[in-house]
Amino acid sequence: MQSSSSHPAPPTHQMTYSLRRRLMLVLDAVMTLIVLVVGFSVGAIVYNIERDAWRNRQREAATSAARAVETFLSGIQSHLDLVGILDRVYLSTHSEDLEALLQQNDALLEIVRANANGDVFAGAYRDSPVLANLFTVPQSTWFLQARRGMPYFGKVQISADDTPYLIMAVPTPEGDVVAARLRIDLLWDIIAGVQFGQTGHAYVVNLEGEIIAHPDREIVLDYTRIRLRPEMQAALEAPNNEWYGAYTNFAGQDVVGSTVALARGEWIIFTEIASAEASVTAVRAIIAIGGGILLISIMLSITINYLMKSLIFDKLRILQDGAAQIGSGDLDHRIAVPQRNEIGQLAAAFNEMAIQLKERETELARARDEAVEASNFKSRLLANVSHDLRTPLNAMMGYTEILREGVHGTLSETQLRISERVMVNAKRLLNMINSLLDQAQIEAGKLKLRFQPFSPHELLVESQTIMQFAAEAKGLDFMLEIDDDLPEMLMGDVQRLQQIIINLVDNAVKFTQEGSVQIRLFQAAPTYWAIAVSDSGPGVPPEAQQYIFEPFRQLDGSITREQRGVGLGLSIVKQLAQMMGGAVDLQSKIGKGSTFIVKLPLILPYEDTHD
Amino acid sequence: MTVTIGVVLVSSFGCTPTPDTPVTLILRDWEDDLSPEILAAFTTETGIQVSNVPYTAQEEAVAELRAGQVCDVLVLESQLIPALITGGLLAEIDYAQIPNYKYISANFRDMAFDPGNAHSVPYSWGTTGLVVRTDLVEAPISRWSDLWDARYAGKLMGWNLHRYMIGLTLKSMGYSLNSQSPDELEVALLRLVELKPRISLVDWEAAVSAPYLVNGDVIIAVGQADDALVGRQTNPAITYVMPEEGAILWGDNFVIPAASPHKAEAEQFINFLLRPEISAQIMNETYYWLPNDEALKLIDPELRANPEIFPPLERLKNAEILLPLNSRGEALYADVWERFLAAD
Repeated sequence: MQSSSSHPAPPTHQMTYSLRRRLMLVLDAVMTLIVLVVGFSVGAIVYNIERDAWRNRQREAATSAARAVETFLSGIQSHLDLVGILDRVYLSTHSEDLEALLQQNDALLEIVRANANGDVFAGAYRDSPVLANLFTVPQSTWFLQARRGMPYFGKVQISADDTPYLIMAVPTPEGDVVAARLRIDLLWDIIAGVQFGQTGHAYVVNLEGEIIAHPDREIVLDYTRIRLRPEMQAALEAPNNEWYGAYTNFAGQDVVGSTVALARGEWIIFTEIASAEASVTAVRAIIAIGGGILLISIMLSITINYLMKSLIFDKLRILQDGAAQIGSGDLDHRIAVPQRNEIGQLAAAFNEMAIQLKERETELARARDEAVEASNFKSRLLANVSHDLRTPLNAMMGYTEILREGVHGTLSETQLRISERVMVNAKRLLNMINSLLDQAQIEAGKLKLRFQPFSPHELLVESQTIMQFAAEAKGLDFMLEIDDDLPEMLMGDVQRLQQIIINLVDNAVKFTQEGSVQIRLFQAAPTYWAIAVSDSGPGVPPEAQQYIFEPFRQLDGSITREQRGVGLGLSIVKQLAQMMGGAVDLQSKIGKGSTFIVKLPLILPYEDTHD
Repeated sequence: MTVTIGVVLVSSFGCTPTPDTPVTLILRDWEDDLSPEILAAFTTETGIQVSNVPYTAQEEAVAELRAGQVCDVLVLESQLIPALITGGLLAEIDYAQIPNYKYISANFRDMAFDPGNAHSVPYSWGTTGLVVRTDLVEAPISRWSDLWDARYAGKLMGWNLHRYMIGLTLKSMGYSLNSQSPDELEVALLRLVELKPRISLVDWEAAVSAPYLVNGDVIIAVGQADDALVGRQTNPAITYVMPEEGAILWGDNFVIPAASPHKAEAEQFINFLLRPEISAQIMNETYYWLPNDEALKLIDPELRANPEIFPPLERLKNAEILLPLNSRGEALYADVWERFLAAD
């Protein structure tokens, strides 16, 4: 297991959504909703209260304006009525009375009385006798209407010198008509005096929609008419001409207005106040309260955000990082979340887990070391023991050889045979010991290969010499083949190559009852050559093909059963081949025989490459 | 984008006249009333053309208006206006466009035929009375009844206008000029028929009777002050007499048909004519009395002093204006006139 001193950065998994962001969004949405709802509710309430307050104020102003106008008009009418009551004869002879009457009211410019035929027989004037000099009286609307019994209010007339006047006429009990020319600018002064709030004002309109009086004189002098305007229509249709509403007036201003009819029913008074002023308190309320709530909710949002961050999300982050750190192998890392809450508990659990893992790791390391130790011990033992085993064996073989050579007397047939059996078995034992030693050496990593130039041909011949006897003893054909394209000289460890061939052939002979054993040397690829040992034996089942190369394993899977040998042959072949930079391959089919192919790198001797 | 440009181009070539296309106002008036110089002066000042399509009788113009003829300014007598107002054929005047209205005399504002002058602006006024060859009469002529004086039979001239002829007959008998009493009208018919063989009736024209008075074919004619003025240029003995029973007061007014496409320009034209200098000029030229107080100060002083054109107040006080009749009255008068014409 690899353990490095610098731990790699913990992998960051992509988050598809952030819990924190979602919570904040929900919180903000709820706050906004609250602000809006409260703000608008309060605004609406205040707006309505304000509206009602203004409505009352306006109605008051309108009523007082109406009263002022009515006072103005009734003052004049009373004078006209008085003139109407006076006796005709008296009036026509006492013009000074009319003069005096005229002086009593500043609004009167002229006052006349005409009989039913339209003849003006009495009059007084301030500026000029306009009405008195009319010769079209019988055709005039004021005369005809008053003579019919209806008081008449003319519309504003402008004379050549830009003074505005108005003709008013009333019937008399005797069927005469009293008419007066009025200074309308006095009425204008009354109307201009109607003010309430900052923008509240009033103006007078007759039933035809003609503006009679307005704080701005020019509007009247321009003959401004509003008959077709919606507010005029509404006022005309309302009962008693009393109406209240919000609209855009003829001057283009957004206003809240109310109308009141004059008791005489000829004129309507409009009182208007700019919409902005009528809702200024409501606007302020909305701004103040809405602003306050907004402020509070922002602060609340910030606070909650901060708390969530420091109590939950930051700790979560530490937990996250710590877990990743531990997960990537740093088992000494401890997650620093000391809080005694849920997150703290989770962190403690992680830390506990890290401790556990660490202990396990230590145990495993120890076990591994022990195993390695054991294995090394085994190898060393094997090497030593093998050596100790070999010495007496060599001695036995040596002495037996001496006997066989007849150095101490010629041996009989039977003695020769017996001694031969001793030699054969001794050799066999030696082989087994050698195999064990080789295996131990290879496992201990102590086997060394000696590369030297050799002739494949000679190798083959040597093999034949060694193995032919064994093969023929079993009645098997022994064939050798060497390809022509194989180079004459190669580099390799001859001794070990020999060992490979002997092991393979030995195996082949061992397992083949009849048929043949073949050794073939050939060039397998441009950089590889191969030794192929084939037999016509029973073949190796597929499931066995894996484990037969393992040390101490025999074909039936058991370990070192009663078969000859120690079960190391194929394992040594494989390991040697691998050490040489090659590999072993088995091609086998049940009943068809087996072919072991050892592929080895083709290395030419130094001299040969410089031919 | 190209579509928008195309639409804008097409619409700018469209029907409604753009400010670049000169507007021509169609004026309907008596033939020789407003002089071409005055019309030209207006065009010079505003770029608006005025084209006079005259009528021979105002009833003809009214009939054509009802038939759908389009014009912009119409000169009509007061009694013809109420029916057109109730018929919705006349536009409401926007006096914001006619500030010169302030010069109009109080006498002629807010009269019964058009309360508040909502649909008409007074143009010219005058009286109708008798125009007399004072050198050819036996005794001074001063009454409508003098027409029935047998001495002047055959030397009389009247107008082919039923309201005037029936009206003066009513006046001569002391009745109202606008009487709608069937009894009074019956009596008037009888009296008028009496006059028929002795009087020749002509279609009205400005100063139509002047030439006949000058050559003596006519001694007494129904006429106006300008008849006498024109006649006097040749024969100084021709005078205008306001009858004692009461002259007939008539008034011509400007009206704008509701169907006029150039209402604003029409109002501009009327305002121009009401300008004191222009009204004074018209008075100097036509000898008509324009009820413009400021203009009166600017006219030819000799004209101003002429009592025929500007009669004194007392004389005016028993003048009676022609008022519109109700439908029953119209029928009565029409019947009377028919029977008068049929009589021999």
